[in-house]
Amino acid sequence: MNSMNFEERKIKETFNVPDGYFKELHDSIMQQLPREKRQPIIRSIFSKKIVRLSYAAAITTLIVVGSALYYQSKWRNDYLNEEIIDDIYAYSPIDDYTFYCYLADIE
Amino acid sequence: MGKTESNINEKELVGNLKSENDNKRVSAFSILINRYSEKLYWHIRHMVLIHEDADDLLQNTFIKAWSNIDKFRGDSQLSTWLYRIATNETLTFLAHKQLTTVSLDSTEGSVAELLESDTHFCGDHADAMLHEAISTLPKKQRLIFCMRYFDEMQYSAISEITDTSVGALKASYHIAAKKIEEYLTEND
Repeated sequence: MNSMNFEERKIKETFNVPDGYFKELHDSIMQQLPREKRQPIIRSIFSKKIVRLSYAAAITTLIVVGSALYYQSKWRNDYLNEEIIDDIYAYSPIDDYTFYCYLADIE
Repeated sequence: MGKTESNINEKELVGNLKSENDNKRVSAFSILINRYSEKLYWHIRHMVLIHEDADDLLQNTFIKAWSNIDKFRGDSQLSTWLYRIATNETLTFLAHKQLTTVSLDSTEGSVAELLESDTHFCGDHADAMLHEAISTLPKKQRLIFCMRYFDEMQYSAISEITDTSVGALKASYHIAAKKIEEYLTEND
């Protein structure tokens, strides 16, 4: 073959196969197929998607419950502090200036 | 009336191949073999040259396809997936052969001589020399050259099968053609 024209040369098949090869091949492969009983696909409840969703749900619940507890506690502290201070102010035998000094932490 | 082999489309074929009904699966696989065995055979044969090797590799390809059909996600065409299996089988075989064969030249004669004495080779001396030149290429380059030159595949299709960019494939084919040209000139 001229080395310079192998690409231009019309491609022709230079190999052959035994007579009836492809028919025999088909039968041979079909006979070799492993025929184990196919199990139905069971999806685990621990599949990646479900685990990810569970994580997201748990984190969201934590944030909501945490926020609720925080604000409830804050509100209660504020309310109680005002209540206690009012009681002290009303019933203690001290004058306004002394009470101011007490609140302002002045000696 | 059931669909005949020729008019069942790929989506239906894949559905049947993944079916839990054994009869459906087996019949779909029979269609798959009839549809793709020749193309895959020639793809493998141009790489390994010997009919018996190509036959073994093709049978392994189909058995692997049968066992792994559930892993086929439908991202690519069924033919691309089959070509990938066949290509991997072939490259593994060639790598193993390279390790176990010390040298073709010293033990069995040249590739051209081997082909000319093969009853399943019907080419002339020039054809045998072309195959010998191709066999000197690195495996991946040989694969790309054969897919383009013999199988006349589009670069885009080769790109999908080999997971290589079209630009790299074109460069690889060009280099391979140059090497073959040089080999043929030297051995003219």
